Amino acid sequence: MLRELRRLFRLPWRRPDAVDRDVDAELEFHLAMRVDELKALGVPDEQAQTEAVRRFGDVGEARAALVRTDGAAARAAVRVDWLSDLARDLRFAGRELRRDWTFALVAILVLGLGIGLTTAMVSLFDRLALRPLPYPNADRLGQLWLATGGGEHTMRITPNKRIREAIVGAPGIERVDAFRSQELAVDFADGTDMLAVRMVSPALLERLGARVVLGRAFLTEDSAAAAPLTAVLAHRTWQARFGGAADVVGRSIRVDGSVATIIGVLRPGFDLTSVDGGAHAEIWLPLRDDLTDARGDYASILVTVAPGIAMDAAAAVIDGRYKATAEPGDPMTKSFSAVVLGADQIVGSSLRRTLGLLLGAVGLVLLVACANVAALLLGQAVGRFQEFGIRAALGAGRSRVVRQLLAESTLLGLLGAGAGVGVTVAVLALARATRPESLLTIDDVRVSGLTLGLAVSVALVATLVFGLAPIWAISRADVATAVVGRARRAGDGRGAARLRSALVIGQIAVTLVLLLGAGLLVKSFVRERSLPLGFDGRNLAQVGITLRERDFPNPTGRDEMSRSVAERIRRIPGVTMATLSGNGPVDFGVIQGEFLAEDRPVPATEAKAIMPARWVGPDFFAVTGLALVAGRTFSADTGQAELVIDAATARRVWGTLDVVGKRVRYERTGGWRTIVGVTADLRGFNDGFENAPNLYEREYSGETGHTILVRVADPTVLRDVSRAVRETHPAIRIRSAAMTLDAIEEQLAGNRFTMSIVAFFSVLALVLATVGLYGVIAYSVRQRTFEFGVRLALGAPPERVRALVLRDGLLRIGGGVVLGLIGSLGVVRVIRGMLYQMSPWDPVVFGLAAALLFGVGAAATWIPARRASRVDPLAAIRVE
Amino acid sequence: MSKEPKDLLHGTLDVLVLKSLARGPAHGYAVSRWIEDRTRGVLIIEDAALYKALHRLEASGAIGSDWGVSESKRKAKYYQLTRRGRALLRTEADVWHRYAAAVLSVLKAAEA
Repeated sequence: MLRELRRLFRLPWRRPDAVDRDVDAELEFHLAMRVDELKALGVPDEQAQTEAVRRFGDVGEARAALVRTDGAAARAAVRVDWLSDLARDLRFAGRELRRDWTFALVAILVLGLGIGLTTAMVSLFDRLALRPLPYPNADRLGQLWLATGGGEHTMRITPNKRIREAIVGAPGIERVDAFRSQELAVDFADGTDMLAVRMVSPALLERLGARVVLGRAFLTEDSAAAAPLTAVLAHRTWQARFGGAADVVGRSIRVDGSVATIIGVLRPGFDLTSVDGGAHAEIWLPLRDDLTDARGDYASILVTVAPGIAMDAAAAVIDGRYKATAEPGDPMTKSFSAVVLGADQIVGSSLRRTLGLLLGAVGLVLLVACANVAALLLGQAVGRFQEFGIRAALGAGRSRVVRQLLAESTLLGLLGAGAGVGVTVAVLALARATRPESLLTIDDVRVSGLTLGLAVSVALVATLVFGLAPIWAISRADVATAVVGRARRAGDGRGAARLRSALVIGQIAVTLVLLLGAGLLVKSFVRERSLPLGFDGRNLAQVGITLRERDFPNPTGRDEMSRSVAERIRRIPGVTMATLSGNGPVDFGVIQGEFLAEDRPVPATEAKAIMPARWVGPDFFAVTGLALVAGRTFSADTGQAELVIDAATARRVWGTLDVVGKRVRYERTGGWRTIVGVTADLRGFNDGFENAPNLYEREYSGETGHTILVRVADPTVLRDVSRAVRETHPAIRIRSAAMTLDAIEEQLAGNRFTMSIVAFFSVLALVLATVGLYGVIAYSVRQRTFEFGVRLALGAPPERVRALVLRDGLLRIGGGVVLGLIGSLGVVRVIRGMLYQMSPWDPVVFGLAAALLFGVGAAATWIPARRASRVDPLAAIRVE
Repeated sequence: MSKEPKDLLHGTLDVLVLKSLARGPAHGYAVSRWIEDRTRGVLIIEDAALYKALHRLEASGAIGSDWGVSESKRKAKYYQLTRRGRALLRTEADVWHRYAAAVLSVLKAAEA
């Protein structure tokens, strides 16, 4: 094949000996004329020869120089010729494509979608999974966590005070920065809003490359506890809230009740969203607490390791120091170890898996697209066999025919690539516009040039290879048969037909895999949403508050203050009930502790004994509507002596719900506690911890953070609730305020985004595969028009012919479906972890996907089949 | 190229060749004779250099060539000016006129 091509493309150089001959003839003529001239003057023959050469100079050297000059000129001329030929070929190809414009349009669209989607997805993947942190020295940046468990069930919590003490001065750690993100009430001229605020250690902004466009960033002094509070505005906040006023520096704002002076405005686009996945910060404050002194709210820790130090090594050093300072038998230290996650790991494994899945999906779409274009080109080329035969008969050199095919394929490929660039840009813009707030920032995602190049190359190669397919046909069939017309069938030999069949089957298989993936994700998502929450989420609001030890040093004072907040909220018109709780009903348990049942063996591994719990006020079950399945809720004031557990825990530990009265040891109290009730299971939405077991205990005295759960008449009351908190005491900080269902919605937004993208790709693949299937079957019907004509003429009923075509199509679809089912084994492995409480072997999804593909395939076959049965026998036979 | 006469200023030969072809198509030998006659033997041009100039000009597109039959019934390569060659001749000749005038004015001033 390669040699064949090379021979075809060999350019008609002027052959070197032709240049030689011309030069020789010219010089010969000159010398002859000179000799004649000399002889005419009476010089003797011999002498005349010598004199002529002498006058000429160095004949040999001159000859070589002339040959060189002429040779170069000849080659240049050929190049010019070839280029003008190419231009003509391209013009002609353009005309051809316009003539068969439906074919051209479909091919260009298909190529464009394939190229564009692949490039857009890889660009996203590159930005989100491979280079998630857009900061200088990002490869040395890691986030410190305390982690327990392993693999799928790793649980990470933000570092506590002791581990933060352990990092300070640890070898191999170049720098430590801390930040905390929360929603705070900010007062503006037109009212109070809850805004995303990030508190950072003073040097963090500069370290991460956040320059100010106005004023200055934080200095170390700003974080001193006694220093006046300062704030830096995010660029968009400056624009939206202050109209981009040049004199904004120096103005004051009230953040969470404290007056802060604005000292600067950050450059646009800077944020920490890629680290914590949170909302865009509107206001930045200095983290006031010293690293070793923060209480209540834990801050996230970013460490910069020294050059050449691995994240794991740094983690081991920190862990060693952390373990060394632990009191003997401390359960936290036994179960949790320090880990440092580098930039590549900060992105959650679930997001990485999602992106990987999407990448696979678009890869498959590109595959389908290429197969489709290939099938289209093959069909088209074979259809044009006669045309090329006639051209060959009229004396068009084979190289001309090939060049024309080449020009058409190239033009098609280039137009497809152009469409691909357009699709890439559009998809990225769409992704930016529709991404959920909770997803990592993709605002600064760039088109990956390398990928675009690769995708275009793949598409071009596919176009060229299949576009040149008729070469084989031409080199095999002789020109005469082509002209007479029989060659249309000669060209469509076994090989070509088999190749097209294989392409169709492959396409269907790939499409089925995509459909299955999408179907499973959609079903899982629907299931996740339709499963009962376990509580009554309607009109339930949750407001997180913090009472800092600095503002409320006395534990009893804190208890009284939080109780009076709840009391004040209860008096708001539109509020029916309110209770204090450790966290919201769908949040992960805040307390982690060792759980030991009196009548059960001690679990083998310590990690297994760790269970999450939440402390709740006595009204928690009434306010949330969480049903009891056995026993009772807490009695008036039993303190920590009683415990309520959920059904999942009961089943897991005892295998029965009949556990009221059993005694367990759990966490802080150390003593035996009695189980008084069993509740229904709460839905959990956390990765890998669906239906995590939950224990409920009464609140401890002196808590600094609460979530107030409020049953309201309608969501508008939420604003009054926030106001009531601030009115109770200005120093109480509001961490968050939201309707519980909205909070759930936000947690599911990422899933919805993923699912809609995969579904989009599957539908696209389905459309592409349908187009391909239709094209190929319609084409083969056209090929066999003669055969059908003969059959009909011989008296075959039209239904027979129709059935023949249908059978052909359905056989291919069947083959594709079987192949796709085999291929789905791989998908099932990948997707298993992303499904919510369901097996990937879901018969409904499998059945529906296969049925859908069959239906679409049958429809794509039906139209050509009908056409086949309506062939006019006489006309069909006469064509030949 | 190194063997071109040192007394022939660079570019001079090209102008002479172009000028000789301005009268009409001619083969290399005729060009050589014409230049010899017109310069009355002051400029002796080696034939080798002349042919190099011819081929160079042809490659650059200033002159074209065709094979024809000479007055002595021999097959000969005839050169003629192209449109580009004619334009080149005009500009080159102009440069030479101004150059020569400048040199002359200096020499005259020195004499006085």
